[in-house]
Amino acid sequence: MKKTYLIVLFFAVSLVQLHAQKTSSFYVDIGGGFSSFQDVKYSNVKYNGFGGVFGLGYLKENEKAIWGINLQGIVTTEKAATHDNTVSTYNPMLQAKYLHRIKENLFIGATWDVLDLYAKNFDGLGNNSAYNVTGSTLWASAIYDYKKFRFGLDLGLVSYFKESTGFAFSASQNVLENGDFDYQNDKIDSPFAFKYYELRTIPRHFQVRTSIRYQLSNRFSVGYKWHLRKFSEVKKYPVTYGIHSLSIRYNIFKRTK
Amino acid sequence: MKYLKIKMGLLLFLVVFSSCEKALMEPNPKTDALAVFDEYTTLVQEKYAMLEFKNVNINTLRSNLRGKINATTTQKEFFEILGEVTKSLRDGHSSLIEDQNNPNGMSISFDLEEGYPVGIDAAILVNNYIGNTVNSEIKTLSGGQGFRAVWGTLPQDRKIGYLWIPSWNVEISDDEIERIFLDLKDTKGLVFDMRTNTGGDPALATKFASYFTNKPIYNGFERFKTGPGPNDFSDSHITLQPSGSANKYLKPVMVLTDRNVYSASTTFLYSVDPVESIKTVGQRTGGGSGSVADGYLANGWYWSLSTSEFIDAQGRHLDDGVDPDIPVVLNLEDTTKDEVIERAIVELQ
Repeated sequence: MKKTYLIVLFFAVSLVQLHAQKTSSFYVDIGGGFSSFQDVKYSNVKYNGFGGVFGLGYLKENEKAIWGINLQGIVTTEKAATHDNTVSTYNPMLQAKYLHRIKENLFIGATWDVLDLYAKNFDGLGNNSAYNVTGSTLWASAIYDYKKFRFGLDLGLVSYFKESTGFAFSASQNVLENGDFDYQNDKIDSPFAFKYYELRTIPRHFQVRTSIRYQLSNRFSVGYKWHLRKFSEVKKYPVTYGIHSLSIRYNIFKRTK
Repeated sequence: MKYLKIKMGLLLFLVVFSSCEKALMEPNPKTDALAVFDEYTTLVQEKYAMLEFKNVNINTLRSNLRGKINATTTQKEFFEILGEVTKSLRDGHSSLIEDQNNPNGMSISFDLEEGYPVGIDAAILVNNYIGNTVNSEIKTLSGGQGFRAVWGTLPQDRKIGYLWIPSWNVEISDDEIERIFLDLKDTKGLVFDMRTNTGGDPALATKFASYFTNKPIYNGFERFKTGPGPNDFSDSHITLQPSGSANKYLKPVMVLTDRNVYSASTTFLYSVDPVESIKTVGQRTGGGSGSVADGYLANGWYWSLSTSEFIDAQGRHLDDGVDPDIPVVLNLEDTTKDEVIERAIVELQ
């Protein structure tokens, strides 16, 4: 699987190198985030909280397309809505995107979350203290430019992922349902054990992401992003989470040819 | 004016989208006593894996207890009513705790030792078998709550090895495990003291178990709750794979047991149970064969429940414990010897 990722990434990078360059930028994002979470398998109580966002990336744009890679991380501390217990949330993500210019200010294409690791640590719990959803998602993406604004919309098409916790135990639901549980099987606890990954599409696995960015100057821009994910590996017991971030982007370099 | 529009636009965008995921979530549950009672009994009904084996009719229990809750019910009374459900499970893995950060808070869990004699006396053990003054050949791995492992030979017979793992809730590296078994390799038999070991990491217990066989052993199956329905179970059949180590211990072993042999220690016992050269000596074990899930109720009270159980190769449900092959009770009046160890030595000689 790792090989497949590298090959696809190589071809994506090679393809866009063929295009004439117009603008390229290497940037860093820093800001704040707000996240919320609910796992109905264990409780209907919602968790909400604030934290920080950090990211860096590379973006190229010419008359035909936009492409870029982005590495971002979000860390928040959420508190339960009805009691005082908290959960720490970590969400590092590596993305690559390619969008073709349809009109002067409209781009359509795809974003690939090469690696999306959504991890939580619930204070005070034992076996259920650690929760994570690890995987990769392919999105249909659109970007629309209006004056100094750039609006983005991503719709999750297909996700290949593993949820660490099943209906009643801290092992993936398919591990338990398939009778694969075994303490000598190290893969069960590994977030990167592809054997237990599932391929899910909408509507069972719904993901949407929006963004709005305002260019303040050649160097600075301010952006807002929202990511919603809702899925259920156990029917009628969905996991829902949302992450909002507001960040300042600083272009370490931005060149236009 | 221009920036005001931008700010207003951004604010509107934030407000609209920040509530979007919440619209897709279930509403927060109520936190009044009846709602929490319903939440807990539903969790037990849907997640607890042994209602039938423990002979618990959750519907009857629910209807009997729910009527006791009214507007005048105090917090303490309510906790006790809810605790009746926990107690009915007779399960050391299932507990209810009011506030984990408050040691004086209310809590309910099953007392494994109630009705059973004491299984081990640390002073007798140290003064006659493993203390430095009586046994200079004992080695230890420090850490945990004292020692992670104690091993060596016994002064009563230097050809008999002794190994005590007080808890599986520690980390013992592969190299450390190798060192232990290398040191014990030349003994003619082993006393594996598992008394007081209430569990921890079952994977570590299984790793130790893998040193006691040179061929795969079918252990039975772990039956997991996989959905809310009464028949939503799935069985994971377990076969213990032998360690690849050259220091496997294939000679006779006496495993010392008491009521605190629980959880991951039960994992160890069922893993090696089919090995004919391994016998248990002491008291009935505590059981705790299942895996545990935990969480918080809407009012913040902590719960834990067994969401699986283990049924061994003989078809025995192990959760209530297993009688030893050789029952021996400790005589606390006689501080010069530990009857359980002495009996194990006799069996190995």
